[in-house]
Amino acid sequence: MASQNKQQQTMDDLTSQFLKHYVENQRRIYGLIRSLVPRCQDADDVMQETTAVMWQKFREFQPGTNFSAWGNRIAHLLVLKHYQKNKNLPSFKPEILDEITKDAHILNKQMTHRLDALLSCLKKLSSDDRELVKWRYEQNTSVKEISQKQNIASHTIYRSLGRIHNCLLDCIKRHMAVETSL
Amino acid sequence: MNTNNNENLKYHQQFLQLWDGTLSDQESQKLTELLSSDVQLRQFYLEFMSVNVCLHQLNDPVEDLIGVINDDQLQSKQILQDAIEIDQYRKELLRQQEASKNRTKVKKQAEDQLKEYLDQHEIHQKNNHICSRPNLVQKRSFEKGLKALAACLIIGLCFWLLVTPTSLYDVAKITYSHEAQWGVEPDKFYQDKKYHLISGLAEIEFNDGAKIILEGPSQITFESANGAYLDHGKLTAQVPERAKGFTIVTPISSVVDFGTEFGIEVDSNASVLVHVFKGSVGIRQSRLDHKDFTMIKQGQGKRLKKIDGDLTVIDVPGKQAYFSNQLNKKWDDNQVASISLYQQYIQSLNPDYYFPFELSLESMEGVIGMNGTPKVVSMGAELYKDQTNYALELNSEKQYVILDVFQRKEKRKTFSMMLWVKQINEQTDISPLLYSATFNETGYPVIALYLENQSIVFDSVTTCDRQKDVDYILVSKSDISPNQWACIVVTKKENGDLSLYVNGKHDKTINKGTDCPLFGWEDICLGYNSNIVDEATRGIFDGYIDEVAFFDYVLSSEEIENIYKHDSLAKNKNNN
Repeated sequence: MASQNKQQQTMDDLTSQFLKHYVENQRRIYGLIRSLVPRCQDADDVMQETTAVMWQKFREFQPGTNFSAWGNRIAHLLVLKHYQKNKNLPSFKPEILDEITKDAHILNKQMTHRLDALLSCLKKLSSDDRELVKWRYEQNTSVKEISQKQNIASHTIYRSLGRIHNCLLDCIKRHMAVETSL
Repeated sequence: MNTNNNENLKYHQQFLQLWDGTLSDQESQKLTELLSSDVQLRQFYLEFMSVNVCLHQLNDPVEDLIGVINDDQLQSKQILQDAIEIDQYRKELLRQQEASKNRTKVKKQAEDQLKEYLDQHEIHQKNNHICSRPNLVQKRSFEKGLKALAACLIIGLCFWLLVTPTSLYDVAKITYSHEAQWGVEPDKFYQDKKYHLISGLAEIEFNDGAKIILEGPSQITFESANGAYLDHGKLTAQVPERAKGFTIVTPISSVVDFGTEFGIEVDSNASVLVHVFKGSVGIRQSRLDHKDFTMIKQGQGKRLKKIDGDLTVIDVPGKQAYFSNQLNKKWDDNQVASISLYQQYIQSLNPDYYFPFELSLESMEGVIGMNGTPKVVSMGAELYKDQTNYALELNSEKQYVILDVFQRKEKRKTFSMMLWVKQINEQTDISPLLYSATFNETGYPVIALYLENQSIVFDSVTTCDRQKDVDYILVSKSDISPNQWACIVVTKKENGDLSLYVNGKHDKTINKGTDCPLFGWEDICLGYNSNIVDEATRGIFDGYIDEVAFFDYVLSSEEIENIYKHDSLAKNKNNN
């Protein structure tokens, strides 16, 4: 009985630790996967598998080391596996995937700062642009649906979103450059 | 890449379409090819992705998080969602607690809010388990884990509210100590908790990567995974690039690291001494001080005092020896010299990675490696001083070690691997020494090295062509005597020759007529075969392993003999 309680306690500790790390880092891991597998459905499949493998292998994770880096390594391998299984998918060469993983890891480290910067930059958008961002990202409405509701061609919406993205990216860069110089 | 604005807009548009899956396969392929060939465009693409991920997840992280779980796992989704909400709720309460000095009031308020929250969400506690929803079928350990996790969070939250008002987060851990005596012996270091090192030395690693060596008597409070408040005492800090910004706050100043090694002492008069051994640090009066940093560069020392409310900085001669980054004190000079001789020879052979297992397992990060830093992940294993040097000790209780070499290399057709092994007592069962597997669907082993009936056995299944798997099994002719060190080297040539060397001498070569690569990506386990699930048949290695090295080329017979000779000169494992 005591052994069962101990086992349960260990399991509880393990799951608690896993959740704590996972909630803190899932954005970063998902970010990497989306960079390597741009298409949403595919990326979600890889993320799901990554989550399962991370959980299965969590006993091998050394507390105190970088959970995000650990998760990224697993995600990277599962992306490779995903591309091996789905050879018809447009994909990067393995060496490019390696490079993207490294670069994405560096960018992901700044995720918190980027989020802060993004929040600030969103406020600077015009009301029309903010509305579009709200539909697309907050309400997760597809471009096709927006196009139908607003009676605007999809490519026009993509062009607008591209322009907004460009503005946001410039703004975030400026924001972060100012922060660095402080 | 053309960097004008129109080009940027065009690419943004294409990236959005790629993300949404509205580009045709042909267009996607074209874009990925372009991204593969244009470094600048790739960087632009990554920045775009980073923004897009933020945008998508900024407003509804919970929904996104659980969105990756399949619909057939609705129960898990619900449990995970509960768990996440509870976790977020706990964080919010922590924030409230920090914001208020009236802890009792907040605690009462939080208890009421929690009760209300649990009632609203129909989450009930019963015998340390969350009540499952009706008809929940626990099909997978993942789901079980999530349930336990949700239960654990609720229990943890209640525990925090009722018993422990301090932080639940551990932010650092001890990696080594030397005659350390603590006020209260810590297992881990928790955020915002004060610790008193009465005497001795303790090496402490922060979760973000910085390491300090704290010298008693000292009093320190861990503020985060990348900083601490030193009330009084002395420490040295080693800060890797990833932990840049590591901060030590003292009663009169804030010392911010810019990627460096430095020493700091706070005496009983709150006067602060800072010496920089490498890189530079910046000093401010406090964290809220927006004035420019006063920089201290490599080799410089400064004494900081507060005079009439202002921080005064006085130059003093730099003296690294005054600070104790000398856990190495436990090594006598001769031994350091002899180990150095041996390691110098191994280094001269340009190993791909090399794990000498000296000093402490946790300090193994950053061993030789050309790309990245492979490191040791100990699963209960420890170092043991064997004769004149340290070695990895493994047995059923000491468990095993993982050499974290993920993503280090592609599969390779040529390699050499080396290790020293000493088995305690004679064993006829299989004793796993080293195991590495590819991360493929079948989990086939790529390399397994074990001891059986006093012979070394190298077993490997190639994975380059599943239809033509080739199983290499190489059994040594020489007996490996128990209680004596043996040097084992395995080499693989491109023509398929797989050779085994024991104690510097060639033992056996086989050739299976294939040039399939043998070495994969996966971590390398020492003293453990993770491919065998059944604990009873997995086997236990009872003994020592040391000097594990991997090379991406074939060592010559002469080099292998030299390794053995050098060891006899330096480390005395060689029994001659």
